[in-house]
Amino acid sequence: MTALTDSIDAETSSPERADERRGRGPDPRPRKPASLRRAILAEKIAPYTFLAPWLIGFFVITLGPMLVSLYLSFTDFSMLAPPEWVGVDNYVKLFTNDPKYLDSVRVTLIYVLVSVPLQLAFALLVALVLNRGLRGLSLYRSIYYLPSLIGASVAIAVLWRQMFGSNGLINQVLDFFGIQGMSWIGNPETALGTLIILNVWTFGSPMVIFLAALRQIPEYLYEAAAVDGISRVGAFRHITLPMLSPVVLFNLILQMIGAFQAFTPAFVVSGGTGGPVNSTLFYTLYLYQRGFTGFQMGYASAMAWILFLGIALVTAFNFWFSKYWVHYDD
Amino acid sequence: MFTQRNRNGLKVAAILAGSAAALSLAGCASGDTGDSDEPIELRMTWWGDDSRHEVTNAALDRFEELNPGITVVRDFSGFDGYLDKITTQYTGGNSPDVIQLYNEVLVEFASRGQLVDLGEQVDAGNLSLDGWPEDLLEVSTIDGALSALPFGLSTHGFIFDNTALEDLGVEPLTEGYTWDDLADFAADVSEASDGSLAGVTDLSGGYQVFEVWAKQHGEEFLDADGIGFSASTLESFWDYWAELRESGGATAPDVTSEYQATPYDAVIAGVAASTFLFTNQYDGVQERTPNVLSLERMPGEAGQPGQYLRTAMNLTVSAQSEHPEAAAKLVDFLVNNEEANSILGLNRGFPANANVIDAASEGANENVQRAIAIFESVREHGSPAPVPAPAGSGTVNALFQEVAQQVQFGQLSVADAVEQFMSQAASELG
Repeated sequence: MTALTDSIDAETSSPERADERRGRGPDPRPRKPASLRRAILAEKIAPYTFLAPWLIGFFVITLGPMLVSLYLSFTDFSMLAPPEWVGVDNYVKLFTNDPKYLDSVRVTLIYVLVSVPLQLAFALLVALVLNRGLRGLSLYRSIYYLPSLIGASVAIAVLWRQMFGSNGLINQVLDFFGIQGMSWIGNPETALGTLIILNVWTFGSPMVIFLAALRQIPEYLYEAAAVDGISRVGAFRHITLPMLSPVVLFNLILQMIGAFQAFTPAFVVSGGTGGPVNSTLFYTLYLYQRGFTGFQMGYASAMAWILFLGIALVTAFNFWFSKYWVHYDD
Repeated sequence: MFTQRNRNGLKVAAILAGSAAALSLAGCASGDTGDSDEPIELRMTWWGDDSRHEVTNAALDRFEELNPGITVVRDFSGFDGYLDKITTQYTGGNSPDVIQLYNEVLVEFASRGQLVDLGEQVDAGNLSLDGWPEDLLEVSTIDGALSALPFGLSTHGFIFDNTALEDLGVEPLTEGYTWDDLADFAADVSEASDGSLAGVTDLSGGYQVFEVWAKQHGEEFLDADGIGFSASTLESFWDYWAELRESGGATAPDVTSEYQATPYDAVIAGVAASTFLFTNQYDGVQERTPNVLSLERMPGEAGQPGQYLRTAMNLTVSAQSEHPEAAAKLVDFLVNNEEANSILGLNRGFPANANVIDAASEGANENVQRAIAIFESVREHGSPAPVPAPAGSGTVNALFQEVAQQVQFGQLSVADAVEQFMSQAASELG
């Protein structure tokens, strides 16, 4: 530290440096209009220069391709031949002549509506426990956060396949208690359930956000309520939940968007088929099947746009509905 | 919100790049390569396991030594995502020159004019067809053009877990057994093991198994016009498996579903005593279990045979290639050169060129010898290979599996399932 300050001192005290700085300092004389304009222009451009990486990313990697996919959604495009304009045929076929598509919508809605609330409830529960001032909190926090980091990976999906398979860990445990197991991933009644459990298990990131928000709730609220003789459950209902509600909304929106787009677990656990009997046919998985194995990229693009609009609608609804339950302090 | 969309955005980015290039596809013409001394760079892509990568790289190294002007860039991976990669590269206008393609998608590429007519390269003297069976070439001819050369043949086979059967006191089935024999055998195994071991995996969803069944009935699964079998043949097939499920001889639906993609894993896991596979998989499967597995032909092959010499994979040259002549030379080397085939061995199956089979099977172990014996028996007593099915057949294969699964889980009766499959398949192939 001393060495560092020393060197800075040495630098600032050197005569040449001082001259340089003086030269760059504010000029007392009036500037010429041209250079002034140039300076103003430079000032206007500067922020965009700093924004450039994001702007380029947005226009070239996000917006441009999205618009192209919008165009492709009105075409018959095999990827191996130029697209052919077919109007709204793809959209019409989706809703009138493709029972498998409706299956995929149903499966995805069940997945979103069941796994997201469960996951958030679980995340909140764990956050509440961790918030009670445990020793080694940061260690626990890291451990519980881990599944969030690896949960969407192929490795975990493969692990899941093993665990819930007919010879898997779950059945071995059940067997120990004398219960006859089954192939949980091979049965249409339970396959989606295993994927929901997988999603609930990745509760780490909403948990960390809940935990941070819990810390923000002022202690005096609880103290005042305690003076009034409030029960623990009452404190949770009337203080904790309202104070947390903006964060609940935030987590809800993020996790719902993520769940609508879930792909990897279903792809790996079902071997890319969405089976058994389409019970794990997530929307994105069916989109992938149509686009890449069925050579129907135009059709897949139409599916992508309906998903995009669907997610936008659900998110808009969440924001609108939030005024009935989200409490903002100010 | 937009960051959440980024993943999809990236996917679409490929298409953006692609669509622009697709418009200019028509403008792609082959450059001149023949006599110029300029160094040529070819790109070859294939899927496979580590041992395949090893032998293929070695063969390509040898090709480069023999052809100093040509370097081969290698682009290899596992099977997952392989097709996505190729189609995306095609759309982007930068497809590899030489591509290993599987049979099911060959027509999709060929019928859209994306593959070089290898017949022209034969005429130009860059590629030889000496030692090639005529019927195999016919099978690779799509819209009058020789679109591909088989790069490894195999045929169907049936494995039995002899070790497990010995423990149960049930005799494994051997040459000449019928479908009825298999049904009795499966019931015996299930009974002798108190239901803990199924006699056979439920193969009612296997279109490749049904293909053999249809051929044994004098029909085809798919032919050039689409559906090549009658509804009653499919009904008899699904009825057969329904009876095996009832007797307990076949695996339960949830287990079947779990091992659907690789039924032989059910035998390795000790869930079933027998199942179907392709002969080129036998050696690898045997290596993964301490139990002794025997390899036989499919059931019911004693009468009218349904097995044929099946193209496991093809070599094709992309129509986008700037060096089709050099690419054809590389194909020629890989399928016709004795030295190349002694390096490549039988990893991809048996060479189609009869002249190089000996070179390829040199030093084969006992399992591979058995696979060769089955293969040769099909060569002598087999059915002709089916002609390429129309585009959309990949979707039909998946549909076959799906509908059969609904029957397995009791969601559809066999009769309804047959009707549903016939009408949906017809509309997919329409």
